[in-house]
Amino acid sequence: MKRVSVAVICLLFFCLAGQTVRAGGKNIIGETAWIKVAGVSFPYLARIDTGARVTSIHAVDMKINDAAAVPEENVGKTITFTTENREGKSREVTARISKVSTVKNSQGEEKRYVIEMLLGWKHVQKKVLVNLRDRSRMQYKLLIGRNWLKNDFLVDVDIKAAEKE
Amino acid sequence: MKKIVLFALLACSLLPVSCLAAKQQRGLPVIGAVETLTLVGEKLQFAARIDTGAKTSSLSAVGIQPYERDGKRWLRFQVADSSGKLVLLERPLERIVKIKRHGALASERPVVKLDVAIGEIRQRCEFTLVDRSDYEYPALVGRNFLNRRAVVDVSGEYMVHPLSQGEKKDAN
Repeated sequence: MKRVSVAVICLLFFCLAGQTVRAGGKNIIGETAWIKVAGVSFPYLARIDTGARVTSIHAVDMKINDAAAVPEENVGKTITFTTENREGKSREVTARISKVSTVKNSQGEEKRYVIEMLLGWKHVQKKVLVNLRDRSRMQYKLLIGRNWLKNDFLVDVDIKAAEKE
Repeated sequence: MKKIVLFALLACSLLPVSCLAAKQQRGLPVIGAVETLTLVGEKLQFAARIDTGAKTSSLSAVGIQPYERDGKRWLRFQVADSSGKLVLLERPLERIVKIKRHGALASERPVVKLDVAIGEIRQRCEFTLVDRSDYEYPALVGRNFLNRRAVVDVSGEYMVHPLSQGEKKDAN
């Protein structure tokens, strides 16, 4: 009897192992999702964008402590900016500039300040680099890119976030 | 003792099956951040960025020329496949869309329908035609292809064999 139960346990173990291998243990997230930003009291209805390498958040009125004329010389300095979600809730945020990224687009070259932010979805919290961009003309004030999704999420565009969080 | 060996063998046989099967999630195949997109009819392959942020898919095209055929508007255009070869294609014009681009003015793009496939996932979808030669990938696969057909895992690239099962058999 003991031998049979040991064998059954082994069988169950292999079945479960197979399940984990197939599902990958990743969370399923939709084309949009409610994301909480540490240090900001309101959530954002974010666009989940596998086409974006880095996450971007809406930021205006950027002020740097002891700013230098060359953006790269501001790395490590403190930046204060105002961020706002789609519902119009706004908040001033202070962070350290992690790096400056250069984006080439139709206008030429644009420099963006990048900071670290802790972004959460349900039980998942991840700290990632976030581009500070004026997204006032865009529908979604927070754009989640591959740097946040990697290793933890599968995106199913059939799923849309609820209208209210 | 024989029973344990039998059970163990049975259990082991289950594990490789789930490993070898194409990755699936809720019955949908899992594809990566970049995949090979095949234009079915012409048998052309393009490297494609899988973009959940894009509503409509897009294909890089140059030399877009409108003309009329049987009283309908058609487009003649050139695409470069993964070998770099320029191929001339002709399709009916479906519609013209306004594309919103960050920091730039909205622009207009022609839309055609293409029969495409990523592995086993085959669809007839709308594609906007735009010169994407400045971009890393000539094709962009958006939500109109992905919806209810695939789930995206950005942790990897080229997770799917570019050919369908039937084509793989023919190739062998």
